[in-house]
Amino acid sequence: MPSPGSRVQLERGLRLAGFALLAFCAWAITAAPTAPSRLVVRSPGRTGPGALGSLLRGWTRRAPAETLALEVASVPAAVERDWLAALAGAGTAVTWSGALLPTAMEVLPVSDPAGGISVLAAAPVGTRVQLADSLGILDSATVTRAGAAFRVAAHTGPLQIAAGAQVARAATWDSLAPRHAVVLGAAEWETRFVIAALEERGWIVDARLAVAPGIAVTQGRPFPFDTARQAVVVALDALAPGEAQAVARFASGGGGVVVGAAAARGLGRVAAGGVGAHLRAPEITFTAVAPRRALALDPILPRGDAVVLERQGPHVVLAARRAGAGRVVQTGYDETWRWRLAGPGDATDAHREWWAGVVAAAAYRSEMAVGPSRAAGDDRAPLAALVDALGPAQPGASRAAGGFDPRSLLPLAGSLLLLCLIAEWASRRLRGAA
Amino acid sequence: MSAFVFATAQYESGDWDSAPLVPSNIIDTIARYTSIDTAPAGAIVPLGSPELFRYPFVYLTGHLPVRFSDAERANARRWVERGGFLFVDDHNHDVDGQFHKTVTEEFARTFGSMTRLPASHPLYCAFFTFEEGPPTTSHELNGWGDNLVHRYLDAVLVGGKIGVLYSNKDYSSEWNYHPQNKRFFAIDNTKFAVNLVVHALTR
Repeated sequence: MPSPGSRVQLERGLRLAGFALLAFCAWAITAAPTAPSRLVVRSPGRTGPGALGSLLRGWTRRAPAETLALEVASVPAAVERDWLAALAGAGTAVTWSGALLPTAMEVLPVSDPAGGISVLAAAPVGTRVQLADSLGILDSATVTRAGAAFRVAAHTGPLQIAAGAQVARAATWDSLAPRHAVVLGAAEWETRFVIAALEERGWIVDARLAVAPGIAVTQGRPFPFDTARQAVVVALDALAPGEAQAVARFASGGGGVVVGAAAARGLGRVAAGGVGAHLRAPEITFTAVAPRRALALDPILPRGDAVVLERQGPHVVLAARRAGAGRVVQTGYDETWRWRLAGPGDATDAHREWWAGVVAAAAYRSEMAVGPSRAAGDDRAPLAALVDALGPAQPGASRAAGGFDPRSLLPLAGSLLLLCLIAEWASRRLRGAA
Repeated sequence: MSAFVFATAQYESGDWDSAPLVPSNIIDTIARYTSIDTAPAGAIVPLGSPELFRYPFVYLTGHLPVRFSDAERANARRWVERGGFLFVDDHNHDVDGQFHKTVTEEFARTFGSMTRLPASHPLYCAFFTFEEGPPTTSHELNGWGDNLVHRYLDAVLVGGKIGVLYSNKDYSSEWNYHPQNKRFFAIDNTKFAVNLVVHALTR
């Protein structure tokens, strides 16, 4: 048992230690932490309101690190990217690393009175992507070299494309300002049935149909062409003098143009290609599987910048190209009216759908102006946005270094202080002191 | 580009070929006044045959009672629904005649009710202008038939467009002559046929 003298010494020592710890706590509470030279954060997944979000809030309240190295398993949300970019702007060197799957999407309203949205997805070839809206999964596809494309007739809320953990989101809108379609041609069955198909689809059709030299049947107000009023010009027969230039100007101004073989010859370089020798089967026999295969063809000889949209065997029968700000779609089918009239099954519906698709591929998309709400929730290319905000990935930076926050020792100091005070009190009581 | 073919409907009942010179006369008229690419010869198409779907414009006439077979009825209905234009003319110009009574009954069964076309209908100004509606024929007041001038044509409309056009005016008699004899007329009485064809091709 220690002597009373040594116990007094111990008690003094404990009191001194208590004062020292008390002084440390007082200093730690008031002292500012020193910034670490490097802070490494591993984000297990998409953080939204989760881990990275709360860390960002903490970093905003106290001095950030000199260097912040993020290891992410998925692209941080847009608000977190902006927050990190703000930190970088405030002086913290923010870097990131992680094997992220590049995923992007685009949504475009289809230029079709029936409505609908075209969704284009980009991801590495072979990736399985899922399209979903607010209510659940709508469709899925495997990405090819040309990406993946979806057509959405109806949906709820924003659309998103998910490729593994990566998610791209896009707000959508269904507001295309209505425009007219113009049909130019001779009075013949092809023009008549194309007009019928477009009108059934909901297009307001203006037409000029030649019936005799200098005489034409007009419907609506086909001239002058103007993108403020018309979305697309469908020229099925040889164009009258001056009309070819007007059609070319309409295309270069952003309008859509659909041309048949005869009109394509008059449009020259504006058309998607030249026109090959006319091909016609001796007998027209439609099949349910490939009804258009029975139609007569004026094969397209596509220009170098044309995109082939449809083939029949070795022949290109539908091709498109950009012409100025607009698009030109050239069709190599002749007499599609025979398909509508004599085709199998729901040939009328199929003919209408096909022509609506051709026209939509070319037609000018005149979107209505929408408010800022359109941008809300938009995150169409998250990885590209991350690179844009923080620069490219810098792998290998994973060691934390430097920096000290004395407040982190407060619990330990408090515990020691309490221990010292209890020990000093117990020692005095055991030796009978007051 | 496909040439316009003037097709005449061949049906199992009645006398479908009662006006054999009408096709050549109308083809001549179309070629005379318009630049419409027209086949030089008409076609005869059985109403119950798949061949019907090769011809979007078909002319049907007769004097005798008409009763379509089931195949003819189904075929004609499907053809009209897909956009065919059937021009039917009462060769008797008689609302009490057998052709009128039976063909209108048959149309009601096959296509549904008919609508009276007003004189302002685009048909009457599709090429030539007929301000008072369908032109009167010399046969309407010749003592045969009902001896009435029929002021209107009737039609079955499909999606607002004419699918079946029905006339009691006896254009089949009016136009049933050799085209070379047009030169003997002070006024060409086949001009309304141009409106029929142009309207069918453009509306």
